[in-house]
Amino acid sequence: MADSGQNTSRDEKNRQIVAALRETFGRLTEQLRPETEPATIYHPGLQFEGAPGAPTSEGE
Amino acid sequence: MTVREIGRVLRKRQISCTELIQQTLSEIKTREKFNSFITITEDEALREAAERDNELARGVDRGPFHGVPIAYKDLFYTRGVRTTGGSLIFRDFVPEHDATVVHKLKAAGAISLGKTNLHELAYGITSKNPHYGFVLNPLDVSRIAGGSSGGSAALIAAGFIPMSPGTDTGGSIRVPASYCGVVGLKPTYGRVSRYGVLPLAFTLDHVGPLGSCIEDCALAMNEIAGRDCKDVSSANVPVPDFNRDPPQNLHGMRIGVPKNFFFDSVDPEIEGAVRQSIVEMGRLGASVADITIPDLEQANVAARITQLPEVAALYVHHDNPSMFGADVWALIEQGKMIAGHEYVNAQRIRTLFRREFDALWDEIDILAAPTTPLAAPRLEETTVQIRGVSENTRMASTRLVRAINFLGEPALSMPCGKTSSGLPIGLQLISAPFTEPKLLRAARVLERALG
Repeated sequence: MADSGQNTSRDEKNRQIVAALRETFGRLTEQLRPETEPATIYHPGLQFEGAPGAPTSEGE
Repeated sequence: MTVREIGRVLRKRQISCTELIQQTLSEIKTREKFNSFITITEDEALREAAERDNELARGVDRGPFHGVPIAYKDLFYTRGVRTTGGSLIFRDFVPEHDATVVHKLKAAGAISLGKTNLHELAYGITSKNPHYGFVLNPLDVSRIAGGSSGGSAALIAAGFIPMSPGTDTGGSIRVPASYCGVVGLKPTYGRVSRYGVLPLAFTLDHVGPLGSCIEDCALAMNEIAGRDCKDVSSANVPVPDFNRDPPQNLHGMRIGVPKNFFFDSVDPEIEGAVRQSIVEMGRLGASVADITIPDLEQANVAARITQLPEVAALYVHHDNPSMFGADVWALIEQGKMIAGHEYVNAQRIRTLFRREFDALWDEIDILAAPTTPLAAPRLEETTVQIRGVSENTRMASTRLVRAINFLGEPALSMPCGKTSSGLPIGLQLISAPFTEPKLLRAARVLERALG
């Protein structure tokens, strides 16, 4: 029972941490709309290989 | 000694590779009290040293790392040598092949002394590993070495080895470099292969060197950088010489000093040393300008939304918390709570930030800032005080570095002074994607000036 109580407490703490993060993130995503860019996600691995604005040389 | 200094004494036959490795291992046995290693591979190291000696005798020289002792963070696959990831779940994992970086450094003649201790699964910045011991800071053993590449940084700071490859998902190269007073370079995303490296978060993980000086990192980059068809995130871009001679000054270099974010909440001693270094860069001929940068506090939030589920995805099938440290298990559990739409929107936000930073690099060459807002915390400190405000140690330590992983830009940490209590202070220099040569050359000019 003690273990179960500890787990519940840990779960609750995790939920609180994520809830706080989610609240901040929610405000941040308000700028995102379906009709606005970016509609596409660039994977970072592809970001530098032909994605718009990506460098094609050493960029020195 | 640095890589170059070791190479000099080996080639002058002042000491053989075998003698150097024997001497280093002997010193580690008597002086190493920091829990830096998880596994020491003495027999293998001595066998390789004998081979390197035979080669030098025959006139075969593999280059700057020929016979140089190094050690791998225990996240890199090493054929026939267990690779624990600092965890219980991989405690008996013995890879059948080497990571690409290990393969390249072996071919360059470097001699591995073993596998270094780290924060469990590289998921944290204290390196207070519950399974293999806490990595202590060799400059003050009452303090953390930082992490997750803590063992690597500690070994370099203590002078046992000049270079160690590490990984950086949210500051894991730069934070321990800052806390231990060594150099750490997180290259551009895609610059160095991650093949054969235990993953943490696949869009944030970077492999790069920690070294005793800028040149050690530059020499390491010459060996490990480049396209790898075994790693789909590996970028197909030309590989330059990372160790070209630095200029005498910084004329023509545009240094940006952030007006927002980086200096908002930093220990006064840290801020003073970093700003003094920036003044020095100006004295060396760089044009220094205060600039407003995109809000990296927001980028940090999106980076956490990205990292939590990426890591949870790897360990979702593990259901026994007793196999993990409490901090790591909590983060995995939190990762399972992030919704799919939140992860996707974090990537859309990443695209916005990438565009803003691409524009920033039209104005400046290098962004100069602190690496960490404080010097190495004490082992028992789970919270720290910065300008009178209490902050979680992990969050404080990663606050100024995490967003750079989200963006993918190259960034290095180099020592730029000490606090009144003698702890090292890290200066962080950040530049545009794939401009590591410029970053390293500027850092070498400053390193020379700072002495």
